[in-house]
Amino acid sequence: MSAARHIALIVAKDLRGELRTKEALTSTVFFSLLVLLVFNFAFDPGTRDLSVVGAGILWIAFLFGSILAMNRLMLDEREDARLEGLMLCPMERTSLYIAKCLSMFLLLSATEIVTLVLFVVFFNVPLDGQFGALALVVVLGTIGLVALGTTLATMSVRTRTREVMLPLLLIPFAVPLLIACVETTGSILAGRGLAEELHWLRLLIAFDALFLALGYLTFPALLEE
Amino acid sequence: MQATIVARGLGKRFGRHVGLAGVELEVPRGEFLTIFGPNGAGKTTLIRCLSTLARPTTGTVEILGTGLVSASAKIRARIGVVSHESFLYGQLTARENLLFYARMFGVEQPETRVRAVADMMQLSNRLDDQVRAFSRGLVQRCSIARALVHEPDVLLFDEPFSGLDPLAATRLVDILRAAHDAGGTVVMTSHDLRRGIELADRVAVLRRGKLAHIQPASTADDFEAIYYGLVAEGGR
Amino acid sequence: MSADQADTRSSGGIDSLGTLVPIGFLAALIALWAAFLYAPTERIEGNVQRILYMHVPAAMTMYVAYSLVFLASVMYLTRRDSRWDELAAASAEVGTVFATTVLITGPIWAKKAWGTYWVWDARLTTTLLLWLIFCAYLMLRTYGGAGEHVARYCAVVGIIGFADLPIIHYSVQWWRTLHPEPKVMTQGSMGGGMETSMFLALALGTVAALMLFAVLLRLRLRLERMERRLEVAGQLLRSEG
Repeated sequence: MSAARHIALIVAKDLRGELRTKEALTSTVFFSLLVLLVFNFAFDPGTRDLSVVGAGILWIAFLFGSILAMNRLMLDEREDARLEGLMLCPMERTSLYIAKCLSMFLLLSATEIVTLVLFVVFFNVPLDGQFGALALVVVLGTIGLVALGTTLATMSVRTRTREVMLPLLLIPFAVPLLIACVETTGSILAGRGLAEELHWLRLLIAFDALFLALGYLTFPALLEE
Repeated sequence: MQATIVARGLGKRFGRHVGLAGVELEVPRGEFLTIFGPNGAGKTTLIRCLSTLARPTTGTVEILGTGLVSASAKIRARIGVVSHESFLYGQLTARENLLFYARMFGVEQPETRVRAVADMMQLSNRLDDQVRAFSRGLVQRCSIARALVHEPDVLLFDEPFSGLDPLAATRLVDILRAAHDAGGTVVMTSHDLRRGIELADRVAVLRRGKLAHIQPASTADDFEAIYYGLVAEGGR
Repeated sequence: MSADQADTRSSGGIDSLGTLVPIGFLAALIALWAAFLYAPTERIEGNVQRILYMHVPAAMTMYVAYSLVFLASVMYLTRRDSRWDELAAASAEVGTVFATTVLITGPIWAKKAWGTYWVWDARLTTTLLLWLIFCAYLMLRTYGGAGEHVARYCAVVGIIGFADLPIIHYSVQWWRTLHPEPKVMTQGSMGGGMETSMFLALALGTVAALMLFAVLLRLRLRLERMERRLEVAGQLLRSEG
């Protein structure tokens, strides 16, 4: 049986479980909404240049939301040692990494779409004709968060402090990604597009490729005793 | 003919902690072997090494003539494992759980096979309930159905009686016997001397990461004395 | 139970410590002399500039230490020999002491030279992020729980933490060039037009810092091994009792 079939089965199982409880989806969307609101009161973007403050607020909402969602998804595999059940299936354990990345990517994308809509509505964001560029940045940023987060969340949920460890590990690693995403998003919000931000896009792609490769290579070592 | 499970000099260290210290074991085809031992003797570690969850530090394991390290993904298709934990998803129904694992193992006709194992484990009438609503005994039966769903040649049971009330435990004896009849070779660890001996062809004692004693179950009248003697003399 | 041939190794450690400590002490004395008496007072910045003779060697040593964590982590994942894990743990901890030194001495000097304690300069920011990553690494070790999985997890963090370095570097560099900056650290102030005596003082300081690192690393390694043996002994005692 091929790796693709195993990956598809695991992703389908993850989505079915999540759609039944909607635990990760609702908690992440609600949390992202709270982050948007808190920053609205803290910074009052109505009085400032949205392209500077807005991009930062949006990406902090994405980053914090992703931490919540990835913890939720990994804790779910930890319960009743389900991860070990998957490890006992006749497949390479690298397939499990790809499957978890994909599940997290789909889940995060769903929450990010809702967050983005709320952002546009609350902050009165002009997005005419720039939606494609923004989607590109969000997809690249999410891939990076997921590639790194799958590795780190797998560790985090097995530590004594459980979900506390993930933000402590993820945020320092994610700073380059955050800078690149905020810079490019800011440029989009200011109506300048991505033409002058190609170096940031290249950095994002390098970030994604590096952590996907490292995550893929080290994942079996994370699982195997 | 070569034995189904062959472990040679099997050792497992966790950093500086020694889990297994050179286990020599041969389990012939079709045998039911029960391994007893005090907490910390290495029973779970042994099951984890045999099931490819843990990689041995020293020594080798061969299952059905194949070395575990070299072809572990392939050999996993022929092993069924029941651990302390169920590996089942609480928010999914028993049927969804069993179908998921059947498909992961590439079972030809998953729906038919799931109905068959559910019948065997007497959970047909609960198949469409979410697993999180199950009692401990029912979860255990569902977990055994999961381990049997791909018709493995080798079954590994890690303390299947723990956490069960006496009635559920008595019921589990019949179920394990049925699983043995269906699944071939069984290695089980247990604290339950009476039930462990009742089911087994051979019984063994694991102590301090080594097999300290092994004998046929049919002559096990004095086994209890031997077991307590071995355990009392050196702990662990 | 813990089949231990480490006794011969650790006594070897004490022997090499026996020679390392006096030589290191001498090197430290020479470095202090070079920094405070031999090197001339910088014309513009004055005596505060002498803190660079500690700052730069500490930075170099930090990179050596974190490179060692990376190497030991790769070796641990491929060999699974706990001695590599012990080396990674010790090197990460001592390396973080040097990184902290860099982050403390830097602002003291910057206040005088640039007129502000902290500048989000590429080099400073990279060091800060590296320090944060290895603080998280040490927390993972401390709060990870009991078990060998912590060693594997730390090895992975040690590897990705070091591999992240070029990406961190470029990101903070580009990030800075897009913003106004109070005063840029020029090549000239960092070695371009440096006097030979200043360069010599820096070199001597680096030698001394590396010797200090070696001594601390050996001591930390010995402590780590003792702790782990005690841990095993404790497990044995508990299970016997």
